[in-house]
Amino acid sequence: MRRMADIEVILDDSYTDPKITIRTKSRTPQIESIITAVEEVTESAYPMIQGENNGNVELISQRDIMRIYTEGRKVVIRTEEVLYSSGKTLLALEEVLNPDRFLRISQSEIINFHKVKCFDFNISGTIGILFDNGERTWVARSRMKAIKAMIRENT
Amino acid sequence: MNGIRNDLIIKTLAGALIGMVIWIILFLTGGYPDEMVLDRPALAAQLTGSVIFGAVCMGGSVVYGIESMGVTRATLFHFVLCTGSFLIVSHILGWFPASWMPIVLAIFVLAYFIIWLINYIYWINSVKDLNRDLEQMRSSREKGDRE
Repeated sequence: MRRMADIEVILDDSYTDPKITIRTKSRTPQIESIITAVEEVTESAYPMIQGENNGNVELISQRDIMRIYTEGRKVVIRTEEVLYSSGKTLLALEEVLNPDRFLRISQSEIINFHKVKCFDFNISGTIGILFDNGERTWVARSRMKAIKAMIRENT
Repeated sequence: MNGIRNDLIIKTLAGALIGMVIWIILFLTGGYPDEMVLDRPALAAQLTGSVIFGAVCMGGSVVYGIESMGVTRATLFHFVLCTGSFLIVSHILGWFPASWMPIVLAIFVLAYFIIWLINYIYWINSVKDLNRDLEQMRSSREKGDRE
C-alpha cells in the first residue's frame, strides 16, 4: 500500500523564497511527480523569461538573472555566465519580474539585488554597484531611497 | 529628456525672476556702489544683468538632475557656469572694483567646495548604510540556506 507524503510547513522569516526539502529513502516516481508539481507552481508565479543567445531561444529562470539593461535599442539580459537579448521592452519585462528580487535602478536598468555584492561611491560622485561576479554598473541617486526600502524589507 | 528640458525652462524662468527681485530689493535698499550711474539705460542694464545671472545659475542647476554626471562633475559644471557668468556680468556692469576679483573668485571656489563636500559626505554615508543593510540581508539569507 502506498503511503501518502507527510507535509510539514515551517514558517521562517529568514526565507524570502520558500525552500522545499524532500526527505525520502529513494527517488521514486511519486517523488518525481511532487518535484514537478512544485516546480510548476513556483514558476507560474514568476514566469521564466525568454532570451536569445547565439540564435537560440532559451527560457531563463528569474533567479539566475543578474541585470537587465538597454544597450542602444536592444534590451540585454545578463546572467552570471551568459548574455541574452530580449525582444521585449524594459517596461514589459518589469511587469513580470518578481518585485521582491528586482528593482529598477535607473531609466535603463533593472537589477536582481540578490546578486549584488556591495555598493560604492567614488570621487566622481557616482554610486556604483558591484555584483557577485565582479561586474559593475551605476545607480541613479534618485533611486537610492527605493533601493534602501527594498533591502530593509528583505532583511 | 523631456523632463530635463521642462526642468530647465522652469528653473531658468524662476532664476530670472529671482534675479529681478534681488536687484529690485538691492536698488530700493541702496545696495549699489555710490558711483553707479542711475539713469534709465543704466538701470535697465543692471536689471538685465541680474536677470541673466539668475537665469543662468538657476537654469544651470538642472545639471544636478542628470544622474550619469555624478555629483562632482555636476558641481564643477555649475561652478564654472555660475562663476563665469557672475564675473563677466559684474565686470561689465561694474558691480565691484576689478581688484576684488580674486577675492570674489576665492569665495565662489570655497562655496562650491563646501557644497561638494556636503554632498560627498551625505552620499558616502548613505552608501555605507546601504551596504550594512545589504550585508544583514545576505547574512539572514545565508543562515536560511544553511538551515
